[in-house]
Order: sequence, then C-alpha cells, then structure tokens
Amino acid sequence: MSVVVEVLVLGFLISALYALAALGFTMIFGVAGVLNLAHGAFAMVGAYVAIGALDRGLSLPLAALVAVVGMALFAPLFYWLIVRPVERHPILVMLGTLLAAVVLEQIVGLSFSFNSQILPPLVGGSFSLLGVRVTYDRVVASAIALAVITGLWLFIHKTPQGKAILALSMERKGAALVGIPARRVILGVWAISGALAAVAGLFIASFMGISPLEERALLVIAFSIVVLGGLGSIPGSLWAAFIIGFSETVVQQVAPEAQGLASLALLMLVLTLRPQGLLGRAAA
Amino acid sequence: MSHRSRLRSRLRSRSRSRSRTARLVKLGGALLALALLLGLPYWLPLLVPAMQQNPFLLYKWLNVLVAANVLAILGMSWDLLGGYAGQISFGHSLFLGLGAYTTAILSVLYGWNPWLIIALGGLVAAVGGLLVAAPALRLHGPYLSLMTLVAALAFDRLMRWLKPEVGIPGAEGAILCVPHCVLTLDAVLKYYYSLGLMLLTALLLWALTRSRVGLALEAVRDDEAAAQAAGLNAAKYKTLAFGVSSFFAGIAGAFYVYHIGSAAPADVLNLQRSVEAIAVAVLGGMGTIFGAIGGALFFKVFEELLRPAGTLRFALLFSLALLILLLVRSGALGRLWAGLRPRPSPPREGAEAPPTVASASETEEAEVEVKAKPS
Repeated sequence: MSVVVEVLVLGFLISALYALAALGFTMIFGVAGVLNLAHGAFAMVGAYVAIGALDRGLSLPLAALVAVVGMALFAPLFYWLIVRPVERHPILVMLGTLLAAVVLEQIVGLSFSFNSQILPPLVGGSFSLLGVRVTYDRVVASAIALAVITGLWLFIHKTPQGKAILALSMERKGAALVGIPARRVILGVWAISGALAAVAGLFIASFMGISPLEERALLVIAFSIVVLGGLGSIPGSLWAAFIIGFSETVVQQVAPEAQGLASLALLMLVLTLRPQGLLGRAAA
Repeated sequence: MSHRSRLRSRLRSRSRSRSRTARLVKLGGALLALALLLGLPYWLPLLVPAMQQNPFLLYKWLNVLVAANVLAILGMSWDLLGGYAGQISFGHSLFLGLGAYTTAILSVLYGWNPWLIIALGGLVAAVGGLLVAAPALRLHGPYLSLMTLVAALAFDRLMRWLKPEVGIPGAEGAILCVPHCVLTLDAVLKYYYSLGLMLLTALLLWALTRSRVGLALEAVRDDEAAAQAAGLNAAKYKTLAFGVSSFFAGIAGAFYVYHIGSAAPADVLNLQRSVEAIAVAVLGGMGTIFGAIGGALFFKVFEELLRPAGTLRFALLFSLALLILLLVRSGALGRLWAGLRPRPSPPREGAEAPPTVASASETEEAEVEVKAKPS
C-alpha cells in the first residue's frame, strides 16, 4: 500500500518538473520548427548560474531570479548566434545545437567542476502523507511548476502575444499575412524557453544535484517526453511527462538497477507503435 | 544565329576544358593525398627533426592517425546512412559499441584471428543495425534521430548493468582485453593496418554510392514518395543503408578495441562518439563519403595539437567545429565550400541531378542549346 502511495506522490512531483523541462523544447519546435538539442544544457547552465550567484553571496531567491532572467536573455542570443545561420538545414541545426551543448558542458565543467553539485532547498522540512515522507521543497517545486505551466497556458490562449505564438505554430504564412512579426515572436519564444529550462534546472539541481554532463540526461528526458506526446503539442507533452515520470518512479521502486532502461524501452515501443506520438501531428 | 552559335561553342569548349581540368585536379589531389598518407611514417620525421631523435614522438602521432582512421571509418559509415539515405542517426555509438564489445569478448574467450574477429564485430553491429532499422522504417526526421539516440543509450545502460565478466572487468561494464586484443606492437604497422582498412572502407562505400543502389538511396532521401511511385522499394533501400552503415561502424569499433585494448561504455558508447561521427561527416561534406576522411584527420590532429590546453581542449575543439559549421554555412566561406564540394543539390531536386562540376556545366550547355534552336 505504502509503495503505491509513494509511487503516486513521488511520481506526481517529478512529472511536474519533467513537464516544465519539456515545455520550452516543444514550444521552440512548434513555433520555429527547430529541434534545440542544447535545451538540456540550458537547464544545466541555469542551475549553475544560480550556484555561481550563491557563491558570490546572493540569497537563494535572488540567485534563482538571476538564473531565470539570465537564461531568458541567453536563449535568444543563442538562437541569434548559433541557430539562425543554419535555420534552413534541420541537420545542421541539430548538429550545431548538439555541438554547442557539448561546448557549454565543457565551459561549465571547467569553470566549476565536473562533479555533481547540489542547490540548497528553497524551503526546509518535510511532512508525512499516508506514510510517505515528502519534503516541502518538492511540494513547493511542483506547485511552482504547475503554476508556471498554467500561467503559460493562459498567456498563450488569452493574450495577443500568446495568440501570436499559437498562430505562428499553426501556419507560418498565414501568420505573416495577418501581420505577426515572426522574428520577434520567435525571439520571445526562445526567451520563454530559456526561462522555463532555467526553472526546471534549478529544481532538478536542488532535488537530485546536477553535474555538467547531466544535461544529456535532461535532454533525453525532454526529448522523450516531447516525442512521446507528439512534437510541438503542449498538452501532449504534459501527458507524456506524467507517463514518463510515473513509469520511472515505478521502475525505481520495483527494480532500481533497471532505471533509465525501462523508460527508454517504453519510448521505443511507443515510437514503433505510434510514430507521431500520442497527440502529435505527423512530422515533416 | 552566329552570335549564339559562337556563344554555344565557347561555352562548350569552356565547359569541356573546365570539366577536364576539374577531373584532373580532383584525381591529382586524391593521388597526392594517398601518397602523403602512405608515405607518412617516412616523411613526417624528415619534417619534424625532433622525431628523428625521439621515435616515440613519431609513434604518438601515428597513434593519433590510427584514431583518425577509425573515426574516418565511423564518419563514412554515418555518411552513407545520413548523407545518402537521409536517415540522420544520433546513435552511431551503438554500432561502434556493438563492434567493440564483440571484439573484446571474442578475443578474450576464443582468441581467433584478429581479422576474423573484426569482421564478426562488423556483422554483429550489422545485425544490431537491422534490428534498429525495423522500427526506424516507420519513423521520419527527428523521430528517427531520437529512436537511434535512445537505442544507443539503452545499450549503454544495458552494458553498465550487465557488467560482463570477461577479461579484466573494469568499472561500469568496461572490458579490458589487453593481452588478447593486441593486433601488433609495431606502431608503423598498426598505422598501415588502419590505413588499409580505412581506404578499403572508403572504396567499398564509394563504389556502393556510385552504383544503382547509391542512386536509389539518394532518390529515397530526396523524395521518398516519388521514389516509391517510381517503383523503388524505399523500405528495402533504407534497411540496406542501415545494415551496411552499421557494419562499417562495427568494423571501426572492432579495430578501435585492437588499437586501445579495451571496450568501455564511457568510451565507445559515449554520446560524444555519435556527435563526432556526425561532425566529421558534416564538416567534410555530407554525401561525399571521402569528406569524412578529411573531417576525421582535422578533428583528431587538432585534438592532439590542443592537448597542451589540457581539459580545455574539448571546449576548444567543439567550438572550432561549431565555428566552421556556422562560417561555412552562413556564407562567409560559402564559396570556398561550394568550390570544394560541388555536390549538394537542394533537397527535392531529384536524385538524377548530376552532382559534379563537369556535369553541372553540361546542363548549362544543354540549356543554351535549347535556347539556340528556335532561331
């Protein structure tokens, strides 16, 4: 019984974070058609910006703010410098962002260390829920994650700027015809994506710790969720985040040594049976 | 009329001489490169006097070139699948690793002839490639790339989990097979072995891409629906590309084990190996096969030259690769790129678009002729 509760609680908490990590990735693909393989690196760099800010004596909330704002500025710059020149060649975009991710890994590893680091929890303490110990930090984190996701949904569906993003993801030519400035919207989406990645990176760093090479695992999780849910589909990503989060938690409880293997196997199975993902439109 | 015919003849003669010169330059360049590679252990010490006093310096560089040859085989195998068949694999480390593990295990357990084991390593990798191809046939674009990436990661986790108890088990599922998987202790001989294997791979893959199969692969890459409509069995050709590509990637992994004496997930199954394979193929020019050789030489030689930079060198190396990618593609070096590599027909132009400078000017000539006719 307690195992079931544990899986449900922990699975829910981790899934919310995974959803956060995957959203920015899927938004960029949906709007700009770009597979940003440096998305995991964004989350990792965001966490390390916070760690660096903490080292310089900033308080934790302030350091987190610096990280989020910093990544919101860094991501559009990254787009401008690295993605834009090769935007028309999907293979070069993948290769370029992957190379950039490796460079970011190395830069962060050299300026900090390649060992795992951990961010202090935002709030201390824990409580017991039906016999499962849950830290307040995790609850706060998933609450923030869900709030951010809800906020994003409202932004996209209720504001003119958000609707511009939606329009652009549906039909680029049509969006241009009604006067939506594609360049500016895309830069904005990169900024949002960077900020979302930073938030996800912060929480992951405070739960499990983070090391520069960990970004690959983050990228694979984000990539898996997004493909499982269907590329470019935000609701699909949410569903998939919960599927992957729960299945990982289950495997962790049942057979810890097979962790990682199970979710990969699940992903391969879904890809084989339903190539376009759960809620996706067929990829180009 | 006279003006047009003069123009026509001038164009024709220019195109002919250009095509002939281009062909000669190409052939000459290839022969020169071949001669340089073959004679390298002899001319390199003459160039660098320090190597005459210290043969170990020469051996060190020969080992770098062995690694470059292995990377070249891997890059060329990726190019067949990515550059010709248009199936962008992010998991070539899977095939590299399959070849490497087969070699490490067989050499310790049975100690057969190294070349037989290397061939078996390739075959096992080919089987792995066909297994990946089965689901991959249903996938396109980023989904396919993810599928290959996931397959490679799953194998990496599997090896770390199984921790094979063969030879001298290392950390995290590594196998140290050192007394068994030594091809030769002679650095010069090892260089020639790797060079021979690399050239053989290049020749076979090049021949394949110049055959009907190569054309079919390009047709499938450029427009799968059209290729299907024209009666090509796209699934068959894609499966073939997966099989052949993974075979040669497995050969690369197998030879690599004979080079360094171990197979470790952190090494052969590292995502970085897949990135390197793509990087050398793309930097050298996708869809050229031979381009990957240049890319691999560049990559490994720079990696060694940057060694004094210590841990910084990977950051520098990958930044350099990224910079080249961006400069070449964004136009700064675009002309040079086009001159070096006159092939890339924009996608959807059809596989029969002739890829060489010579034939490009022939089409130009044909156009002029068509225009000249009515008058």
